[in-house]
Amino acid sequence: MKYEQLAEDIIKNVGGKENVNSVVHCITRLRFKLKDEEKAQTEVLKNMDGVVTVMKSGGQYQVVIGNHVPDVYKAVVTEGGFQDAAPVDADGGEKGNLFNRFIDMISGIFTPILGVLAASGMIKGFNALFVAIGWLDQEGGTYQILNAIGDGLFYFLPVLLGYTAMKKFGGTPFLGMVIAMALVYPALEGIPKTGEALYTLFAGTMFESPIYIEFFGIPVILMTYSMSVIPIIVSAFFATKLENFLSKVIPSIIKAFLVPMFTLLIIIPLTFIIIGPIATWASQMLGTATVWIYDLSPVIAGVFLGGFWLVFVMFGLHWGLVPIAINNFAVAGVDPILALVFVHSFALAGAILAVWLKTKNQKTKVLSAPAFISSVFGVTEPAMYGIALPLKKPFIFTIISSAIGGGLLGFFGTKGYVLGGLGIFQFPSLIHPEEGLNLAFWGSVIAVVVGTVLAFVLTYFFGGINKNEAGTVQTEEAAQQAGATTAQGVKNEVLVSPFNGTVKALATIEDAAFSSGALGQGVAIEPAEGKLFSPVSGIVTVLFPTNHAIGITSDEGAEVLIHVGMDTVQLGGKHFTAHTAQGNRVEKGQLLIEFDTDAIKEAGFILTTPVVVTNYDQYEIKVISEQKVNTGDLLLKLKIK
Amino acid sequence: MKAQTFTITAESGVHARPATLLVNKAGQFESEVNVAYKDKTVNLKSIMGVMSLGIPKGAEIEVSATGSDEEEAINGIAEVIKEHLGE
Repeated sequence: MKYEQLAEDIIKNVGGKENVNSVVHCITRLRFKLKDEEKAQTEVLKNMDGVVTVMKSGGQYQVVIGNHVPDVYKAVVTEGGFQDAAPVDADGGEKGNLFNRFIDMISGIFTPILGVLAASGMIKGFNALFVAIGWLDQEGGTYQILNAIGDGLFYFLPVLLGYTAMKKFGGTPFLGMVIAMALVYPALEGIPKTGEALYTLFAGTMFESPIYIEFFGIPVILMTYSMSVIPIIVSAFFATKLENFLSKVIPSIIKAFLVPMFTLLIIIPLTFIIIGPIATWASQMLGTATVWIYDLSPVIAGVFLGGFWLVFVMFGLHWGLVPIAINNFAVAGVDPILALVFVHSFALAGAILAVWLKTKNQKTKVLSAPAFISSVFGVTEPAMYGIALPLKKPFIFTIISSAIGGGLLGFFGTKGYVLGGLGIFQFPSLIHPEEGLNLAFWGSVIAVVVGTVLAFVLTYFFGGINKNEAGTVQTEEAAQQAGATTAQGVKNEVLVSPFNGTVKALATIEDAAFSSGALGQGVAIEPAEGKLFSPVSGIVTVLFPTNHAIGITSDEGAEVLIHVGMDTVQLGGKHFTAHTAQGNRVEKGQLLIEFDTDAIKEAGFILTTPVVVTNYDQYEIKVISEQKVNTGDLLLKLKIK
Repeated sequence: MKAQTFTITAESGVHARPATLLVNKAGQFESEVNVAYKDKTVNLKSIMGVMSLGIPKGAEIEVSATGSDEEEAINGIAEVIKEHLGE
């Protein structure tokens, strides 16, 4: 690499790598976010060989390099040990490590359903409250129906996540839903609890698994998928991969039903056969480990379970502990295990309360109220996926506080005497049937107070709540200032076909400017119909006056150029009708241009149309569809470098 | 900064193909190269930027370059314009 020296000098003069929050690059510039711009030696940088100039804009410190900036960027990233991603993101470059990316993915999948999730949480919580104070009878119809209203979303949570996860990964959302529907299919859910086992695998070990059903002779260990989060996300991820692969190999005439058919037939059994046992065994191990730790020290068991309970719930592993608790109630009439996790919903509520009071972000504030209230009532999902996880720090403080609370519960020997409710409704279940309000019970009150207050204080003072959001605002400003001509913080995305027609390789076009890829990279399409629909949602940055070429900068940052036909500029706009204008916002699938295919062909022009991404240096571009396409079919996949 | 004004005489103006030639040429230089038409200025290294101007026949454009090789940049671009677009 020949830019090592340059990279070293640049880093030194922006104030050293300690001063760099993040760095990205566009077509000509390194865009630094610096902790302190005063520390940068702007004059030295400006006069440095290889640096054109320095500009400061929108919270960014831009070092203009020229169009070989990708190479310099690589050298800078290597030299400074920075994250090589596109960290222009809501949390200002904090992104990057696997844990953060995982959390961002999970919260991204939840984002579309947060409103309805919070609503369901409130209904469920108040319903429990009304039963607790005697307004509703748990056997009565009113309660049953209200319960179905509040609990429906949670029970069928994988179905909603199937849609949002599949969409996020770039697959067909309805496929994700159907996969989830099969996972929570009531008839299958019923199987493991009824009838005699066919045989037992691994008898006598920790993994002892009675097998109730087989799939073509393969033993299937069923787990409870309702309310689970991770299994459907894993499934949707692989389903997207498979769907993309099948779309390529299956002829387009029969694609419409064969691709989903094979995706479902392969992914759903695989989920049952692979994820079921892994999750089941992991939860059995968790159960065994917890009992072992409890025998060793109730305090350590409390720290362990209390701390990680929310994580276990996310993976569906907590189901390994519920049978132990039920067994304890049945055998001894008392269970010390589930009582240890008592504090988690209060700690979460404390953290959310801090966010609620402190945040300046209107959206977060509005969501905090129902999230807090439902947490107190023991429904943690809205708080967890809507606020704590996306903001990250409140989640970490919840874990710490809940762990300490769990340790206190272990110390005081708090136990449950009946399988109680959740949140505050768990209190009554902790009362000793004979001794009444004993030390163990008061210990639980202390643990709850300590856990809640600790999570609140930590989040309030160290949660970095408004810092994150300031980052968001800054990024948006910077993006606006960058305008249409510079790419800014691009994201992965998928383009859909703007035409009904036939896809060809770009190289087949008889025009060097396009076939060489110099203009941009992508595909050529022979339109079967004179209608051009937007392949992305974004802003029309180019509509050539003759209406034969249109460029759209997508919301995710891709610059897409569609040039209808070859040399059609010579028509001077004849046979073309535009349905939008330069500067307009358009949505994916919107009709943008109509043209008269017959008239254009008659005039002697070729209609083969390049659909290219002009900021291709920022992506790895993959052609998804190779043959006949319809409007809206997945066409190009853009993966950031 | 170096700048030069050109008049476009090509029948179809600066459409995709000549725009590509200009952008490719501009990309060979270190300097920041801009093109101005009417009251809008864009980066000449961006195809979308150049095309968004929709420069027609008869238009007067100003190309400017700032940087270590600004002289070469202007000359290089002038050559492309003379050969394909105007004077």
